[in-house]
Amino acid sequence: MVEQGIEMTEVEQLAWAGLVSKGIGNSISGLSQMVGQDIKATSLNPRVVAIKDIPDLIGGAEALTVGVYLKVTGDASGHMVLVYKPQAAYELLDMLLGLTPGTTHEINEMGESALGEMGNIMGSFFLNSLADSTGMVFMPSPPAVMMDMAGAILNVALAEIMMETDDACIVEAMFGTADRQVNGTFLVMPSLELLDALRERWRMQ
Amino acid sequence: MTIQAVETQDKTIVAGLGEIKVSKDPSVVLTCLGLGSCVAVCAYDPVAKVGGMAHVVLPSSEGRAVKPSAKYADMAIPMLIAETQRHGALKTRLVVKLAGGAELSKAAGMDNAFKIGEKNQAAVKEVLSKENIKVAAEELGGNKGRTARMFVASGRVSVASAGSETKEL
Repeated sequence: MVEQGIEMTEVEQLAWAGLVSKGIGNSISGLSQMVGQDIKATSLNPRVVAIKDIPDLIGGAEALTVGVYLKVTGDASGHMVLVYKPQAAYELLDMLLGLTPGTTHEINEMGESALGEMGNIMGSFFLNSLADSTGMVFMPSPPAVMMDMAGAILNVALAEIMMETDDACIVEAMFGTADRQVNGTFLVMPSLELLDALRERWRMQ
Repeated sequence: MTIQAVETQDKTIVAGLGEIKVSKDPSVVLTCLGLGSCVAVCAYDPVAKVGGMAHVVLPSSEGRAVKPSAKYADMAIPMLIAETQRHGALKTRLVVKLAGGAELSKAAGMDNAFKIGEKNQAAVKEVLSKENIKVAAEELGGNKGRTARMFVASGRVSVASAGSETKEL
């Protein structure tokens, strides 16, 4: 395995954007069902970025962040991270656990399990859609829930991608409800292997 | 002689993932933000007052790197030494301190087949020992993210974790 750059043609970028917008749509509808609230994507941004700049997308490497990490395995690998500012995670937990708004001030075992389940649902719904669209098989790992500096939360995923390349093709989706501050970010970072497999399929179509 | 860093006037220079930053400007604070499995290699020549920091991401470039890159421990450390020398440091005077190399979560999603934090620690130490450089202080391992700062004026290195007090190395 030798390092490579990432270059995508316009057609490939469009195909990738279509694929992920369907996947993200599916995962946000999963989240809506779980929370029992109408959650919508507020932005969806598929693009190629320098890996060292990824922590800045979620508030900076040092910012205290709640992250739910899932590794993707199967026909090809990748990484998914669901990211919240701590306050947003607390509000979301109040919503999920049916508590009065303002009750949750930490991530306890119950909260960890609820957030993990949320990551599970968003991840599985995304991968199901990706599998449907491509005919490939993907599996999410069990979720790892962490509250720490954003850079540290992303570190292992970014290190794995950096073994192959210094740039990553990522999807950054932000979502929330209309009335409450539960905005989060869902980051999908496919491996080069996964991107290559997708390109191969697009070429054949 | 003591030089006190006036933190409000300090200029922060961030070494991002796989970057090396070197300075002899006494107002500069070299910084690696939010280290997880990564290791910050901090080198300081107390005579020339030159400081350098490498943000190491991976243990070894073996068979992968197509060009020199500071993301790999085996390439970063010789590059860091050379760059501090270019700024007037002497290799034999370098005081090296390390921070990072944590494993954030033992959960299944993060079991990271390759235990990258540990491997980064081991690789950094091995390369330093090949270069005949002793590690003066370290804050490695554990399961917490860290930010490392080096004050170029004094060579002081501080390490902060989320929710705990800043330590001096």
